[in-house]
Amino acid sequence: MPNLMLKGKVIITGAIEAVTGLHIGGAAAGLDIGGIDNPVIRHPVTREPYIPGSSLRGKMRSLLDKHLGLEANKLIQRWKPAVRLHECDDEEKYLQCPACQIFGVTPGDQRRDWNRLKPSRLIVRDVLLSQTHEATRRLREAKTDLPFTEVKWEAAIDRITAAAVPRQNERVPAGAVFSPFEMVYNLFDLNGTGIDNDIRWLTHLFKAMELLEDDYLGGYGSRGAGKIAFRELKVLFKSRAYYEGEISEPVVLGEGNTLRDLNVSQFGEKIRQNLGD
Amino acid sequence: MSSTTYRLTCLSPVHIGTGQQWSKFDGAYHEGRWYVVDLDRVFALGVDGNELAQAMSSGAFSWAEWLRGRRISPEQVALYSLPCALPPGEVYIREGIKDVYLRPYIPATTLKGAVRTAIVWYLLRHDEQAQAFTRRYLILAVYAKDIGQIVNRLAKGNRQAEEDPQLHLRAIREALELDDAQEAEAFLQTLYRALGKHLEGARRGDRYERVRMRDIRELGSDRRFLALPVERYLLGKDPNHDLLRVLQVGDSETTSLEQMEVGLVWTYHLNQSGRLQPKREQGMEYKSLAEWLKPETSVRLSLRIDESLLGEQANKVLKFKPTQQQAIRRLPEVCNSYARSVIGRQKEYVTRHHQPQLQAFYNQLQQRLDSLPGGAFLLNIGWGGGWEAKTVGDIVQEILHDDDYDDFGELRKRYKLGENPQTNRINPDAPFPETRLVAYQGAAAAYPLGWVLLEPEKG
Repeated sequence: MPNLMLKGKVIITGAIEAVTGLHIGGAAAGLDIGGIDNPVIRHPVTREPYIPGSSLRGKMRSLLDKHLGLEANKLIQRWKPAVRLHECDDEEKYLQCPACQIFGVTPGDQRRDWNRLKPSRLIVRDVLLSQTHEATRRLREAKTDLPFTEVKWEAAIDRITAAAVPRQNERVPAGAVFSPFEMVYNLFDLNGTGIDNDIRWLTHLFKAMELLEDDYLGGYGSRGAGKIAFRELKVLFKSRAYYEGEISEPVVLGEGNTLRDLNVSQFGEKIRQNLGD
Repeated sequence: MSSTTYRLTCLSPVHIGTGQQWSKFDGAYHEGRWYVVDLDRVFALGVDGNELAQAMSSGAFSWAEWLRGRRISPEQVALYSLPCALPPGEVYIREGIKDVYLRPYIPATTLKGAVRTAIVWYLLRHDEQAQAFTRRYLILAVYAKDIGQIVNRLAKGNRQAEEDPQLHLRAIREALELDDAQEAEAFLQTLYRALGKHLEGARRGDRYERVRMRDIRELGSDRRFLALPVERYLLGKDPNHDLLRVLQVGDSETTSLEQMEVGLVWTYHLNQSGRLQPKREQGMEYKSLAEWLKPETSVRLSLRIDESLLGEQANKVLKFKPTQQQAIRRLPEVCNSYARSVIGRQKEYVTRHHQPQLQAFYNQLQQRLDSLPGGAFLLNIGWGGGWEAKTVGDIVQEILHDDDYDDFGELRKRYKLGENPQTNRINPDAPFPETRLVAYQGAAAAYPLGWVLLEPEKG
């Protein structure tokens, strides 16, 4: 019988700064008068733009897959455009695959034995527009086209006639800050195999964050939008002892204003020292 | 992912528009500056909204007079102001792009569009098959209505016959008066490819590959998308397979409003003695005003190549050809080839038509191009560069050149290229493109619009 024991949680918090305009698409305005072609996603209650955890998580996974050279072997959409992603399809590969361990595998249609108890390690929460940051105050006071967003007009030019096709694109302006973001990385002992791999794979999560800073989040990224930076970072470790009330404070693994300030290579040793086993 | 930071420097005025145009209802000219009025600031002075609305409903309203009448200085109510070359009067001012904090910048979309044009031009220039496809496609587009009518006549209302490739072949032969069976077959293949269909599949009876009469008639019917099949041929069949996915361009850093001014742009055309002169007709001067970035303005931006999309894994799906991959990897060279071609043609035109200021500018630009350091390149971006700097028009003119038929002339008629806006007519004897937009410095013609230099930053 497979078993799973939680050995602790690594909690990464901080802020996400939109270095360039950010477009994470929402539902089109449809027939709204004055509705925009390509709106950004907004919180259903506050109507403020936000970053869905799914966008953040999916992009980090995709970048890590590419970084590790993992084959996009699983076809998840057959009709055009075909959509493929990487997902291990046997136990042996899975055990060696940081991407599938961190981000998980889907059960799929055919639940085979190997597919049982394959917990993903990572939780990524939605990130709201900061309520306290100076950038939000400035954004509130700026003359934006729509609340907290700019509508950028663009034109595609035909390369034979030079006729222009205007289009509009809603973006959260560069400089906006979303915070606090929170990612939770679980350290599991699966079937008594220990947590060495989970500790080792934690570095891949930070690698994915770094890759994301040099890529883009959301749409229109290859033409300017979506460059982000992680800021005001704090990485905590909460062991079993913390949850059981034996210690009152989580262990600070690292702090810094940028990813490079964190000294991620030291995290493994600090976690081991504070496991409390 | 390989990323390079570039410094972009404006070599001539650069106007990147927002789609918005300012008029006397939006701002006021005062002592050499243009002030865009911020209504919030107006109301903050205690102005009665109803009274203002009533005043603005009059066609004679102007902010300049309204403010003067109330002894309010434009500075008090301005969202921003810029030096302005002349009182705008009734001339609209094209707004230049800025971020929400009123800081101008160069959007990545603008740069990427210009780079895309250069890549399309370069690939087309070096690919004879692509040129043959483009020539046949454009001829089919020009005569699409005729072909459609012949299909209609031959099919006699039989839907199945209308979709028969053999009948399409007959219609093409008849419409284009083609004696050569091989050439007719090549046109048929081009028709199917331009419509995104597979001829062989259609011949086998695959219903998804059928071409309907409506498809034929609508081929190239929208001048805004005429080049699309050519771009698909050269860059990839759809956005997911498009070569330019590999290139990630960042929005530039912002710069200060000090780098922007409202400048005069005048349309120049050929006068009767063949000189390029400011256009004036029926007492009207063809002037416009634009918020532009001044020459020598400089901003940083990044260009990245997503190597993973050029790797072995991705290539199984994307299938970029070596020539396509090279075009991306040798981007500065590609852009400079295109720039050299545009500059050469523009220089030749302004020299032939006696426009010494522009000739001097293009001479300098050509010299600069000849001595660029490695990795640096020239682009023409934004509004006002003209047809030649925004299209692959020179290649189109070449490949449609024929001693027997004036196919390019037919293309011009079909797509209204060089149409006189007053008469809606095209003068086939006038050179195309005939007009040029000229940016002024003070009272003198000085520049073409939109030339920028990109230099990689060290380290």
